[in-house]
Amino acid sequence: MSTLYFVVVPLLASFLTPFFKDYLRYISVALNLLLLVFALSFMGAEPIREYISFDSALSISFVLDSASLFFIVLFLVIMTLFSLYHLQEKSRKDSFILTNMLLASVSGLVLSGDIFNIYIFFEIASITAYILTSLAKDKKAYSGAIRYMIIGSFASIFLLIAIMTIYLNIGSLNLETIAKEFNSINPNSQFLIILSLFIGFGIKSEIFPLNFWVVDIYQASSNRVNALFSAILSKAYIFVFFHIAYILHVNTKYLGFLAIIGIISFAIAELSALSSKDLKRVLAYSTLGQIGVLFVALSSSSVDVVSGAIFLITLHSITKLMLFLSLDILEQKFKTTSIEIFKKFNSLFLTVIFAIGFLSLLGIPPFGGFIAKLTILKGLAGLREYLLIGAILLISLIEAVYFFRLLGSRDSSQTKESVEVALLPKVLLSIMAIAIVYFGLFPDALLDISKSVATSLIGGADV
Amino acid sequence: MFNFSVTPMGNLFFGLTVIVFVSLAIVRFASFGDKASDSKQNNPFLCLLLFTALGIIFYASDLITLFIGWEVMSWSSYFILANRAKIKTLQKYIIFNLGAGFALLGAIVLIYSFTGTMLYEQIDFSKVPTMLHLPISILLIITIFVKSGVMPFHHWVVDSYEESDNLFSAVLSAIISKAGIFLFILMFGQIIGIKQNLLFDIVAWLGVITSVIATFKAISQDSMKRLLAYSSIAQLGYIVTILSIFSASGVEAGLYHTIIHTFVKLLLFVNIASIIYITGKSKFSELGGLIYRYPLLFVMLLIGIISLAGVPPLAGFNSKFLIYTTLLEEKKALLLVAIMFSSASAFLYCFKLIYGIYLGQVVDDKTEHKELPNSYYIPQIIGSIVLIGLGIFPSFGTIIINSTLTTLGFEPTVYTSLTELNGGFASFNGAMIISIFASIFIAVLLISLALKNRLQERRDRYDISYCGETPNPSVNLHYGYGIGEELRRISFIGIILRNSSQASWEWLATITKDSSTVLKQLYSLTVQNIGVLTLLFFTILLFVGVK
Repeated sequence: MSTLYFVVVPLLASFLTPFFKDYLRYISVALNLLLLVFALSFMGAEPIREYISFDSALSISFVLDSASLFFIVLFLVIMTLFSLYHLQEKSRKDSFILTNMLLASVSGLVLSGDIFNIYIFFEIASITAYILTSLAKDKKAYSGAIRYMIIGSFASIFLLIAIMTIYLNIGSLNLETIAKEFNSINPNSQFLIILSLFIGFGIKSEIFPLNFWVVDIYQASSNRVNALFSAILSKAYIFVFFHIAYILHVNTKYLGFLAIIGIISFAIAELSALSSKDLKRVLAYSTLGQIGVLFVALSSSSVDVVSGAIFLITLHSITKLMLFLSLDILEQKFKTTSIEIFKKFNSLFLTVIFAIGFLSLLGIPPFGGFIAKLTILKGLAGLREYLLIGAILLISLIEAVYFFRLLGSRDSSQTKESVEVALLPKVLLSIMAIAIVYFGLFPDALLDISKSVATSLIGGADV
Repeated sequence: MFNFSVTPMGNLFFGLTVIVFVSLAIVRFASFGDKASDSKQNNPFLCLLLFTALGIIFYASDLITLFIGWEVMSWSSYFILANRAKIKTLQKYIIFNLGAGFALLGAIVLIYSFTGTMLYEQIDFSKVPTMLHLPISILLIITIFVKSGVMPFHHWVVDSYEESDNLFSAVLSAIISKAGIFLFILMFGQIIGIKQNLLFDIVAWLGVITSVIATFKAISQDSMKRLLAYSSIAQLGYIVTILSIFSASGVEAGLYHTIIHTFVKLLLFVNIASIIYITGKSKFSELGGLIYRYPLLFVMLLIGIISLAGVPPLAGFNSKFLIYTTLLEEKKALLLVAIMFSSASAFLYCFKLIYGIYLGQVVDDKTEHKELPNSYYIPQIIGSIVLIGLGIFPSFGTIIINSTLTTLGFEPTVYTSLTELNGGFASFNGAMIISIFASIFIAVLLISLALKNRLQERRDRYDISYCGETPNPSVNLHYGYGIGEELRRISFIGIILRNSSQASWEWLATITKDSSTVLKQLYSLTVQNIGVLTLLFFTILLFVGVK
């Protein structure tokens, strides 16, 4: 039983493409379910550490503790739902390979125990994302993909600078070794490493002031791809970034800086969303906003707040997957994603789905997002960070304005076109909606898990 | 996670909720199948959700359960409103109400971070440092003010009341505004414990100022529902004022007025709803003289406005009496004068209500009137019975309130008999007053009937002439809707009526919108961003090189 399977199996499965062209959608579901069961079999086990070694300094290592396991399970659940959604489509040759690559790379990202390995998966994930963006195969998509590639290359360069500096100073790429020696190296190099890591991961995890490219890319890609970007990819980068930050015992001064960056990111994203005229962009801005909150919460280095952040990650992934897939159904009908379509469609089911999704994103009870927000706020109050609490609440109000404006514009008296939702998407969307409500009413189990994940994330270096 | 407990105060408020919801549900279900109005019906599921949320609020025994109920109440009523209201009204509604909700959440989180518990009984507020008492109180007061529509947080109220479904306006005014009052008593009576300080003096004055301004605004309205909305704001202002004097008699007066106001507004809004249903018109200027066709509705409205004005003999006087005696007892002479001023001015809008709709000249007899379903009478009859009943037996209300007073740690009020209301140093006998009024009324009725033929001379309405002109039937002699116009010429009141704090809120909205438009540019200038990143990259290289 090796953790390597999480990376290798999806990659190898991609080779099945030419042989089973017509059955790829079933294979995809089976593969994801198989991996999910495999991941769940690790539950409750001791942390696992594996080396594929040439030499200790450069060895490839995988670490499976409760934090990385949690993220792998989360990604697999999202992927399973995503592949189930694609059962309705006959051919998914391209996206089968790409989603497998994405899965392999994000699993690799969260599992990696050495920084060079992280770089490799970082690159695989980026390349996959560029191609995924261009999948829509129109002018906008291609130009988006190229822009994405240019920005992504910057991120890679900065990450590489960080790795180079680390190797020059410490002589090892293994995270544990780096953790032990990091605080003894030259402060200037320390600063350079942290800055380059921040820029490299900041670009990828979509944080202010490195996130100006995001919204255009979201608009260029298809809704399904956006669902993956928002629900999986950005979450993996954020996890790895904070994983490294906590392992390196980064000075709290830098973490405080991240909290401020997070709050600014939240504010600017929500303010920009206010006058946005496109649903894809609105959801993209909202993702940016939530990532801002995640930065505030994750940089607090307190188990209470971080567990709220883990809860938020879970809920946000489910919610964004649900919303982007619902938007996909709408786009198929209306061929556009302008907010005008929100006035036009006539479907009680989709209205309820959107309402649940929006309310959960806003953190309004009795939906799951509320528990996440409450946990974060309670934790922040425990740390006496009243300004942050006030800022989060105030900015949430701005967020509420545009979400409720969308929901309120539903019942204007103009003629509506009915939208039929097929059975399969209906069932899947209902499952996600029920999960959101369930986690809002009975959060205890997930809160306990979040707590253990948070402990493992913060105390990562001490394992 | 959910904790509930049955308390006398919860019972009181939930009892009112049940009465209002059930009576309105009867109206709604009885008029089912009426195709014309069915398409815009309130969603019964959402109404049920709102009802549940109110139950959760009134019976919660920890702060999080309370908050969950509070927010569900806000958004479920938003979706009910969304069925009819304009988007601007909806925006106002949700910004104010969610803002209030977030203020409440902030207060809850602050209290929790020091006391470590959410349960009402276990919260030891003395653990919270004194420095934070004021911010927490202010957050809570903002929440309460928004929900109850006290100035300067009342801007969402009037438009929402006007544009919502006619029956739902009754729910908004009769019950949802009371959730704020409930929170006031719960938080400051039970959990925090009120201290007489400057803050509550300010709250008391804000309540009075609200009632004065809203009263004058109400008088000058042409729309019936807007008038009632402003009247609702004014009445809630009294309640907030009297509650902020947190003595036993203050709470008693506040709760008594809450009960009265619930029934009065249930009656009045359903009465107005009936008129709108029958005629399809909602403005005073389009109505008049309906007493000839709907005398029963006229009597109901009369009962309502007598209670609303707070004059004997009906139940409205009981709570006003308690308010006045409490203020006298506490030696708050200025507040008393201000409240009396606003109560006296309230006669004007009460009169406008009855004159504009039922009295005067028949403005329009061409439109076909729809037949009013009998179910519309049920809430009105319930309201009338309660108002007359409490008028005869005023102490019955005291009995209901006493158990709440006891749980809040106050001395229950002593009462000698059911018909006598004890206001501390003064008391009155409701049954006696009613019998006096009733006998005078009957006497006058008998005399006028006896003298009917001698006093009355049949004349045509237009058999008058002024300034040498003889008016023809196209001239409207009915001036009921004009009451309030002349108020604009009185300097002090004119200033109130012309100005509004709305501009400052709109200024805030404009700033937010503008900054949004500017900030949005950031996200669409990709080429420049790449340039910025390049610059950043080389700066860092340079920085490293120098080192």
